[in-house]
Amino acid sequence: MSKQAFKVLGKPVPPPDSYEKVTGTAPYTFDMELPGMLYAKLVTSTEPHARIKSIDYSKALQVPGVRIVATGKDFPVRIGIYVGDRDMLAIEKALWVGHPVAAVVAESIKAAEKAIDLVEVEYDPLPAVFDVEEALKPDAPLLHPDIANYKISPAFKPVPGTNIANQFRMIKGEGEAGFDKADLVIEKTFKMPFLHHAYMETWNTIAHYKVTGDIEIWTSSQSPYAPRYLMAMSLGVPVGKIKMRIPYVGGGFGGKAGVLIEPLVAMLSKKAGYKPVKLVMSRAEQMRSMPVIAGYKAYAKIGFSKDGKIVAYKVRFLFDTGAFADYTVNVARTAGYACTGVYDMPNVYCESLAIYTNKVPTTAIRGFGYPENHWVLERLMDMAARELRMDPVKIRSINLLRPGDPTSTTGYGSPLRADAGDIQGVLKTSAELIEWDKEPEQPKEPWKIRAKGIAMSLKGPSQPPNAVDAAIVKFNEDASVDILVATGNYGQGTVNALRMIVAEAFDLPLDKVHITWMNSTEWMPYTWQTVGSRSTFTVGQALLRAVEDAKRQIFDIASTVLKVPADQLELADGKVYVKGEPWMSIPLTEIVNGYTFPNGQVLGGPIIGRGIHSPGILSYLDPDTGQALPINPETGHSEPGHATVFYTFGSTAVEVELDLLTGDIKVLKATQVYDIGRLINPLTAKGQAIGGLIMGMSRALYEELIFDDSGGVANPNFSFYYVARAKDIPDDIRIKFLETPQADGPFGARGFSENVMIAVIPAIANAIERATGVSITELPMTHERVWRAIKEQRPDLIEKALKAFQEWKNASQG
Amino acid sequence: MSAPYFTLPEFKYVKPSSLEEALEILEEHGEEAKIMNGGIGVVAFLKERLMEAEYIVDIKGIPELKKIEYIPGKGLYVGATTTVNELIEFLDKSPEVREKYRALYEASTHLADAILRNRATIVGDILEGLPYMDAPGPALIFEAEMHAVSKSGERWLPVDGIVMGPMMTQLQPNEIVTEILFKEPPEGARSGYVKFASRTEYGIVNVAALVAHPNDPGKRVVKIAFTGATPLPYRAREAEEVFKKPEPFGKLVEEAVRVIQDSVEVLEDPYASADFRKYLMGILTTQLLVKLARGEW
Repeated sequence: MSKQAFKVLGKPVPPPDSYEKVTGTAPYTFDMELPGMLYAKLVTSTEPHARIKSIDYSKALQVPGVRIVATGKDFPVRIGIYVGDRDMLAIEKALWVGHPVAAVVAESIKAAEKAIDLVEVEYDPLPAVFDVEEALKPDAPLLHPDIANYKISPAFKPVPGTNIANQFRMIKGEGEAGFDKADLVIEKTFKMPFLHHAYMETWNTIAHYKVTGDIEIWTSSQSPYAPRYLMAMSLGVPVGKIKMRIPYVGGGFGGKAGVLIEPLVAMLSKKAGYKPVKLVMSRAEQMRSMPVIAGYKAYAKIGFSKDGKIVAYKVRFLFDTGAFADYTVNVARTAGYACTGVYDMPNVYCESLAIYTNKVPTTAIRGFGYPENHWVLERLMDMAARELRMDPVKIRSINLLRPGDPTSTTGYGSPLRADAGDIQGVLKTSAELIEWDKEPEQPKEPWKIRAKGIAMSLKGPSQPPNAVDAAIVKFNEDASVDILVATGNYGQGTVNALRMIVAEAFDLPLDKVHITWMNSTEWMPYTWQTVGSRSTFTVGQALLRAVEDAKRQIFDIASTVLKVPADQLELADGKVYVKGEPWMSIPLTEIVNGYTFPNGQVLGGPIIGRGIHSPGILSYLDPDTGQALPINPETGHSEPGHATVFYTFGSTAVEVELDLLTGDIKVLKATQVYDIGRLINPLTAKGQAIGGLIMGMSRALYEELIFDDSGGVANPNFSFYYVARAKDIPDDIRIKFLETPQADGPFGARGFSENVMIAVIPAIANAIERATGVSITELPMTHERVWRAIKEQRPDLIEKALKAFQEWKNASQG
Repeated sequence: MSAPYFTLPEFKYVKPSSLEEALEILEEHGEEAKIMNGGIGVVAFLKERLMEAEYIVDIKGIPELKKIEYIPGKGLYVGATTTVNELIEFLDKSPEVREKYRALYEASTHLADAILRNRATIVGDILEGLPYMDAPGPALIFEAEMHAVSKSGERWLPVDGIVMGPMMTQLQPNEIVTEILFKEPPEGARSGYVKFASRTEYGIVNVAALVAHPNDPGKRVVKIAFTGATPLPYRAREAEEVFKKPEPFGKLVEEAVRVIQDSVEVLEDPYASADFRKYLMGILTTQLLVKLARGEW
C-alpha cells in the first residue's frame, strides 16, 4: 500500500490524553481518595546488612490515628517476575540501607509519618558487600542463601551458595579461540553507574482487600495483568479475585513493569480491617527504597582483521543488581544474548552475570540491556577504527548484519529475517544528516574542539516466548468503535497509535474510534505487559485481527440484507458496499446492533471483534550456548527459534564541542534515524526520538546514583541526581524515519521507542574519541572524569590548551 | 534532601502585617520562632527535620520589606522579601543599573529556576548559609550590607562574614533583616558571574568578579568572590591586593590565581574533588577577569 493510500496513518495526531495532562485534570493514583481510606508509610533499614533482632512498635501504636504496624513476620512471602527474590517487608534480614522493615498504617499521612520515627528496630549487623567483584569471592557475605527455594522462571539460572542471581552464556563459532585469527585485539573495561528512571510520578498504590476476598487495586503500574498474576502467585490468592485498575500513570521507562508494591498494600489493607490503604512514595523513598537501574562493570575484548572485519568478540558483564535481582536478571540476560549488536561476528563468547550486593535493588529499564551492551560494543568499534585508521562509518558498514542473508546472524544463532529493515540505509542516512564528510567549523577559542561521532543500535522486545496478547473492538450505537486493550498509556503514545491503526483498518474517521484512560483487568482483555516497545507491533496485530473478525460479522449480516456473497462486500466511510456497485450499501449504524428489517425482525446482534497475537517463533535460549531452542514445526512455524519478535535498527550521530580546559561537553547537533517499518504518528514518533535523545544525553553526561559508605543512596533527589533540563537540549536535532515494512507488523510497523536512547550514549563518547584520541569507558562523562581522562591519556592536549589559554590571556596586556 | 516525609512537623504559622508586630513575636518567642521569607530554605529544612520551630513567622506580609531602589552614589537597596524575579524585572527595565550590578544580575538569572525565583529572595539565598548559593558572591564584591532591626535597635552588618554555616548567621533571634544594600561599584567597573555546575543544579565553583581600570595601576580595582568551591562564601582579599602592584593586568591575574589556589580551603564531595575545584577556580577566574578587563564579558 503506498503512503498516499492512508487516510489516518502518517498524519500528526496528538494523543487525546495530552489535553487532560496539560490542563492538570488527568487523575493519577496519587490524586485518588476513597471513603475511609488509611495511609501507609514505610520504616526503612539504617543498616546495609543485618539480622533484625527485634522491632518494637509499641510507641508508634500510641500515636493518635495509627491503626496497625506490620513487619516482615506478618507477610513472609517473596514476590517477583523472573527471580522471586523480593520481600514485601524485610524477612529476618535487612539487605540495604533503605530496605523497608516495617509499615505503619494510620488515618492520616501525618500520623503515619510521626509514627515511623517511633518504631525501634534492633539490628545485629552482618558483613556487607557493595562491589560486584567482591560479591563474587567465595567468602563474600551471601544475600540470598535460600535462593534455591525461590520461585524462578524457567529461563533463569541462579547459582545457589553464591551471590549470582543469574548466569547467562552465549557461544558462537569457536568462541574465544577465534582471537587467534585477529590482527588487532582491543581489551577494555567499561562501567555504567546505577541510575534512577526519573519518571515524574513515583510508585503509588491504593489497595482495598474486601471482606468478600476480592482485592481492588489502583496502581501506577505500566500495565495490569503482570502485577495481578505475580501478586496472586505470591499471596496465594485466586487471580480472578484481584481487580487491577490503572488510571493515568506519570511515566514508567521500565521502572513500573512487573509487580510494584501492590501485594504489600493489599495485605496492609487486610490487616487494617479490610479498609482501603494508600501508599505513596516520596522521591527520596523511591530512590532509596524502591528498585532503581542496575550498574555494571564489563570486561570486553574484540579482535579485527587488518581489513576491519570483526573476527572475534568476548565480553563479560558483571551487573550489580543490588539486593534484589528480580527483573534485572532479564536485563542482564538480554545484554548477553544481544551482545553482538548490529554486527555479524563469526566467533563470540558473551557472559552476563547478575550479582547481588547490599545496595538498593534494581529492575527493568527502557532499553533493557541494549544501552548497556551498546556502550561497550559501539565504543570498541570506534577504538578499532582509530587503531586501523578506518572511518567509523566504513568500519561499521562492512560489519553490519545482512537481513535475509543466511550467513548473517544476530548473535544468538537465528538468521535475521529479510524484512528486518534497511540497516545500511539507517547508517547512511544518519551519516548524511550529520554531514559526516564535512569537517565541523572550529570555535575561535583554541582550547575547544568540535567533532562528530556516530553509533548504531538495535533493539527488540525481551519477552518470554509465550507472551501473548488479545484485543477487542466493539461498536457503539452510532457505529463508533471502542478499543479494548490492556496496553498501558503512560506517555508513550502507543494507545493513540493503536487507535489510528483501527481507524485506518475500519476506514473510520479518528473521532469515531474511542480509547479510555482507565485500564483494568476487569474489562480489558489479556496482554502480557506493556514493555519493550512491543505493543504497537503485538497488540497492533491483535487489533487488526479483531477488526477482521468484526468485519466478518458485519459482512455476514450485510450479505443477507444486500443479497450478495460476503466476499463481494467492502467497508468504507462507515458503510458496507457491494464492490463495484457503490450505490448498493448499508450504513454501519444499521448493522452494529443487528439489522432490523422493515417488519421489525432483527438479524444478528452487537458486533464485537476479537483478535490475538501469539509469537509462535520464539523459544527459550539454551542456557549453555545462548542459542534459541528448536521450535515445534507442528505449530505451523517452520523458522528456527528466535529470541525476539522483531529488531529495529537505529543510529545517532552527534556533533559535540569539548572544552579541554574544563572537560565540558556540549551536544550541538544530533541525528536520530530509525527504520520503524511504518510511520504511524509522526508527531509522537518525533516526540519519542527527541525524548530518547535527551534521555541518552542525560545518561551519557549527568546521571549517576551516588552511594555513601554504608551503600545508601546519597543523592535521592533531583537537585543532586541531575537529569537533563530544557537548557541542555541541542538546538539542532535531525530526525528521519525509514519505512521498510515488516510483513507481520501492523501496516508493516516495528516498535522503536526504547531504541531512541541507545546509540546516543556511545555516539557522544565516540565524538570525543575522534577529536582527542581519548577513550572514555566510564559513565557519566562528568567534567572531572573527562578532564582526568584527557590528563591521563593525552596530557599534551591539556598542556597545549593551557598554553593557548595563557596566550589568549597575555594578549590582553596593555 | 533524603528524608522520607511528605508532611512538615507541627508549628504555629503567623503572618504579621507590620514590622513592629513581627519584632514583637520574635522578642516574645526567641529561638522558638523562625523567620520564613520566600520559604525555599525553611520549608526544605522543616521537611528534612533539620529545623524545628514552634512559630514560623512569615514576613511576606510586611509592606516595607518589599522594595527595590537605586540611589546614585549610595547603591542598590533590595528589600528582604523582594523576589529574585522582581529584581530581574527591575534590572531589565533599568539597563544602566543592570550594567552597574552585572554580576548580581547574572547570578540572579542563574539562581534556581524561573519558577522558584518567583518565591526565592536575595536575602534568603544569602542567609540560608549553604555553600553553593548564588547571591553571596555578588554581595561580597559589591560590599553589600544587611539592615537588621530588632525591638532594641537597628544595625547594618556586612554580608562578608554574616553566614557561619547552614542556617547559622551573626543575626540575633530577635532581629529581622529588612533590606540589603549593594554599594555603588567603583567608577568604570565591570562585573560578571560564572556558575559552573556539574551533575547537580548547584555550582561546584561560582565566581563573582569586578574589575575597574585594569590597565591603569594607580586606579585599578579588582574584587573576587567564590561560592560553591568553599565551605562559606569567600572573598579573595589577598588575591585582590595583588592587583595593587604596577605590573600588567594579565601577569597579575596569574599571580592572583596562584594566591587563591595556595590559600583557599576547598570543598571535596562526590560531585567534584578539591583538586578539580581548585583547578577550575584558576581557569574560571582567569577567564572572567580577562574578559572583564577586555570588555568582552
